[in-house]
Amino acid sequence: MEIVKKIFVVSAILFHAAVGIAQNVSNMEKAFNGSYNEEYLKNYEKAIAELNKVYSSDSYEMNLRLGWLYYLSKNYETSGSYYQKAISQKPEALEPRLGIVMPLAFLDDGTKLLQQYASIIKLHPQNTIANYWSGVINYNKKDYKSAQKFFEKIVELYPFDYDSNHMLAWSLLNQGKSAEAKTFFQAALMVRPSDASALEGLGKIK
Amino acid sequence: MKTINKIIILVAIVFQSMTVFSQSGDLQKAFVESYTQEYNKKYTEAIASLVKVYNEKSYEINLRLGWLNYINGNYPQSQSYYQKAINLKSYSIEAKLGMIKPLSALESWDKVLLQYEEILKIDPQNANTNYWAGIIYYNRKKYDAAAKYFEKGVNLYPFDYDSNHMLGWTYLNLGRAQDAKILFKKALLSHPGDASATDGLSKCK
Repeated sequence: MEIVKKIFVVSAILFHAAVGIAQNVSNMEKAFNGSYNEEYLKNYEKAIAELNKVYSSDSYEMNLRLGWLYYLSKNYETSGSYYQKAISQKPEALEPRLGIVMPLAFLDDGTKLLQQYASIIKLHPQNTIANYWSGVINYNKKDYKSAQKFFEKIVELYPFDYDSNHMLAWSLLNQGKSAEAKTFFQAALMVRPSDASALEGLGKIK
Repeated sequence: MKTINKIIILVAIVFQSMTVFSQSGDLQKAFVESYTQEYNKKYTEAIASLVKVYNEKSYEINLRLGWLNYINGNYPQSQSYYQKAINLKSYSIEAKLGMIKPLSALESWDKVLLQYEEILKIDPQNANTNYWAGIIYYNRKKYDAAAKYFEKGVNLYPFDYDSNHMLGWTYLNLGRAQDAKILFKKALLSHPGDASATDGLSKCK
């Protein structure tokens, strides 16, 4: 009888666990599925509501997805705060950092934006997106020397890339390094022949 | 006389610059032609346009000839141009990624793996490279090795369907059903109802 009771208890625990997992998975999966459908229809508020039904602050996936959905619904502050939660949960992950830069760009927070790109580059030194946009931010600040460093890294890894050749050339030209700039404008023109900006840059080199 | 000498030197420099500029113009013209011919699927003509101005020291021409020969189905020739591009710019990831195309078409998987390893030496966090290196090991049933590559993908991109899904199967094949279960569930959050992840999950007893 004792053995039968024990078996009954173990079976009950396993059954309970199985039901718990099934509910958990199906509810979560259902909520995510619902949010994808609403997102597809551009009903961002409804997509957020779908996830909020099962929201758990411990869930990295939910925080990441809410960061994205609030971004789409143009609520950049809230988007940033969900992405920040995801970053805190998985500090070694690149994806929430690549996510948070989107609301930060809209909030026009150049300092925080550069900090995030720096943190991405720390985790992934060859990240082309982070290097390119760090270069662009520095270029817009007229810090051409810093910009050059970021663009050079991409050109070294992807020497036939139009964007980085083009921006490296302009960074060099603005530092008075015409001869070097010419090489990169010409490289950009091989990728995009008759590109107006590269031709303009080349035209400024005597 | 000094002035005349100076003028001659100056004219020579300008003439030389003009020649270089015109050479660069020829190069650009050749690239334009090759793009137009590629667009019209005239790959042999596109190759011929670049061969007219071919310079073995030009990384760009070698890279592009690697690509054009690849889409023209001439894989050994494609491989040889990509190799030249790699030799000219040893840190170039794009040339190595290019080289993988003819190697894959030739099913030279050992050589493909070697290229992936070369890329990872330069860029250890390269997500695509980690993923495809993992796939090659998975197909060879080398699950321990495959896990190493997929784990890197999952750590950097924890919501990525592909790496969660493949790491799930890799762990399942290593007998790590509980770990696999977590990954299949994560894959299902990215792709709800996904048949392969659901299948994997049902095998995690």
